[in-house]
Amino acid sequence: MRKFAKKCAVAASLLTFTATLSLAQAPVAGPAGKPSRKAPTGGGLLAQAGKADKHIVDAEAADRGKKAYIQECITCHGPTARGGQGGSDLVRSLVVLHDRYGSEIGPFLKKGHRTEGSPAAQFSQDKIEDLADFLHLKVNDTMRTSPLFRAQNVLIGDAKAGQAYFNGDGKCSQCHSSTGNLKGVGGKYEAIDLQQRFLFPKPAFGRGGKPTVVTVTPVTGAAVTGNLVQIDDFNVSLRDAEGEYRAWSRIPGLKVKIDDPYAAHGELLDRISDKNMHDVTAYLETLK
Amino acid sequence: MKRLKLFAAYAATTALVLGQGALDPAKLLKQPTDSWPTYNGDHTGQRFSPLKKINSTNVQNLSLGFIYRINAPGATATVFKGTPIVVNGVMYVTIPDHVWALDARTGREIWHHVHQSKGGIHLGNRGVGVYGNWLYFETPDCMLVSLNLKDGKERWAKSICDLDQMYYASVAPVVVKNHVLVGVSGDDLDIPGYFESRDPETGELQWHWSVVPKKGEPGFETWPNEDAAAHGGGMTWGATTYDPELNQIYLGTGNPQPVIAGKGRQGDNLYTASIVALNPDTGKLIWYFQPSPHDTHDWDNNQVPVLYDGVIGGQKKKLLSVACRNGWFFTLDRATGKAIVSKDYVKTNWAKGIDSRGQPIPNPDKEPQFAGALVSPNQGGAANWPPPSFSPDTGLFYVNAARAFSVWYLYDTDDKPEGWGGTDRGGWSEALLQAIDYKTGAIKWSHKWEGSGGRSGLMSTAGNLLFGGDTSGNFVALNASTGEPLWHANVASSVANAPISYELDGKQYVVVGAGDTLFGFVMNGK
Repeated sequence: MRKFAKKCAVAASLLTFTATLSLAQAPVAGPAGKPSRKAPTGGGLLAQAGKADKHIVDAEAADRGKKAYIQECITCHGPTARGGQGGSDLVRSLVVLHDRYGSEIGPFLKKGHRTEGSPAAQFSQDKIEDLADFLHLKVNDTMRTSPLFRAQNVLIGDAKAGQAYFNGDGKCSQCHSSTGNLKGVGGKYEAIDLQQRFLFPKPAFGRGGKPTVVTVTPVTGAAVTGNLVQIDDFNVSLRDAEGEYRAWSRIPGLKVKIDDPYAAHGELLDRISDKNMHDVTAYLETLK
Repeated sequence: MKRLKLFAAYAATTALVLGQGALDPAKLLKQPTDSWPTYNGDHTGQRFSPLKKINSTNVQNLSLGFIYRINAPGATATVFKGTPIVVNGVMYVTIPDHVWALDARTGREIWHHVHQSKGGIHLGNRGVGVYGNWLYFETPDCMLVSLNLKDGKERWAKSICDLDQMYYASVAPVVVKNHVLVGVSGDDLDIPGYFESRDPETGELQWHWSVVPKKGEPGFETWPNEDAAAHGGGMTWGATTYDPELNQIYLGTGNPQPVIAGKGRQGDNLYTASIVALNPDTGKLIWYFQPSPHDTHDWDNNQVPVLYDGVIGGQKKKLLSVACRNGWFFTLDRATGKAIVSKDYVKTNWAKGIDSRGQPIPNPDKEPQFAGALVSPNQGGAANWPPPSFSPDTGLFYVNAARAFSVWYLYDTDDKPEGWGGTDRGGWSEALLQAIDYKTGAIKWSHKWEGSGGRSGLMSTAGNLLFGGDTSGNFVALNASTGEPLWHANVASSVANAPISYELDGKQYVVVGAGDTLFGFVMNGK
């Protein structure tokens, strides 16, 4: 008996050790007694919102939960669980937000919450967990990391008016043409990307795109022209036509002239109306 | 004499037994000299140093005294986004979950405290607050933690928000009398914003101010229903300033929620996106001014409300100025909240004019639309959390600003939008350091940085200098009167906080963080 007790103690301590180790190495997430779940990757900083041990939604379970929700809950709580005919908003419910795999939703339902189909007090554990997955999915749908977080139809403009603006007040035709550098552009990009590209063509952080050309005239010596590498109040550098890196301190007398190929687009932002913007988007979309 | 009386009243409320390294509370009521004892240097929010050993005639000789690089294996946010605090020759710096005590003369580490996190957004930490022998900092997992100044040992940790509702905490607590003032963050779900005072000895709640009023309270009428108000947002992640004579604290409140899709919260949505004056002893609202009624652009109004005395119409006034994220500059009478100046400090396109209170009137056409609305400024705003500075010597308010455009889209087609419900995309911007005349809102001088982005906080000094970061990874000193750049050091990363200055043993130090490194500059002699 003593031997058995000792064996049990060793086993227990090993189990404890194993559990501690596994917790430290990879936190287990998911309903008790079921395979652990992995948090989705990506989302960056925004994906950090909430507790580290937050509920991780299983898509298949959420789909089963959706069926249960339609059967039991949708009449009162609405199609998106944001409240409806007398039912509260479940996306904003503290019971749901504090829940992990049915830990809060289960006891709440077991108290006998009114449902449309079978009595809530008799819900199986699996059904409760599936409902929990569905409700957490509905919460996630409102998050910035949700795949539902995307633009709607932006094609509300008048293409003919857009063409007139393109060739007139917009001054776009001074550099672009529908049969030249914009030929087929409407088939190349989604409408929202066309809208973004004509307003903000310069790539973020200056990466890629057309180079900014700079001409530096030193205090003595000839002017040098090349593609701008870096400029601030104190220094300027460029890469010249031969590919040589050239740099100067911006001392008194040194002249710097910058030619930004996107300058006209920046200037456009101050005068284009939202109607013009929608019309030009619609026009560009026709260039297929 | 008035200052002595105020200090006597202040000290009576604190009744501290001060250790050797403790903060003398009188320092919070003076311009900082041998210390930088609170987030803004003092309670005014001016970020003005009266030191002038380093000045516009000799700043070209400023050189590197020390560097300190973050050593925090496993940390996910290793950028100094807070303001260092200096008390009795020791500097306290933070990143999320980490606090270091450094020798303010050398940058050498004295101790390092690590908080074991349970989650939350690790966006940044703005620094510590100090009271007597203790310091306080907030953590992404919603804790207010107090440490001993001398050894960094934890005294207690109190929960100040609910991680499951996706709050998090990043604010530098400000200590006013015996109140540790704490704010909260969180924009992912629709949750109510609030501001609290905690007991410095125990961390227990002293008072709780709800940003959005409840049914029956003034301001509730600016919400369509109780549900919208109860989920109306208004986070409190900015820095608080304090006038001991008026016994008022001033803070900005964040945007309403849902953030972009305002369909379900028609009305002005008080007291979100506002400047408010509260009684520091009770948390009662004294007055409000709302720069962004019914905001739908994520334009939190958490920028620093800067306090100073000025002359308006020949009369000396107690004033408050703020350069808001929405691109507008306001000067208010801080006793009453009445607007004296309302003017945009970069060109904007979202307001139709101003109302009788001096508040901008939003143009509904410039609210986010399903097909997009072109708006200036963008989501990042004309200003954001990096603190501005005010120089009583020049009478100028300085802010590192952005003039920016983006297209704002509604995403959520539901009858009851929740969460963000949309966002802005794309962008064009230019970076401008603006020096604003507080009496008129006119731009006295403007310095355009080459490039865009990378804005930093600022500090002005009695040496006629203005310190801040440019868009190219330089730490720069400019002539505060003219805006002429006078000195720089390439610190290799954007200056992600605001510089500070203090004098120890006759040497004036200027300290700034850039990326994961803290730089201390001095006039190097022997």
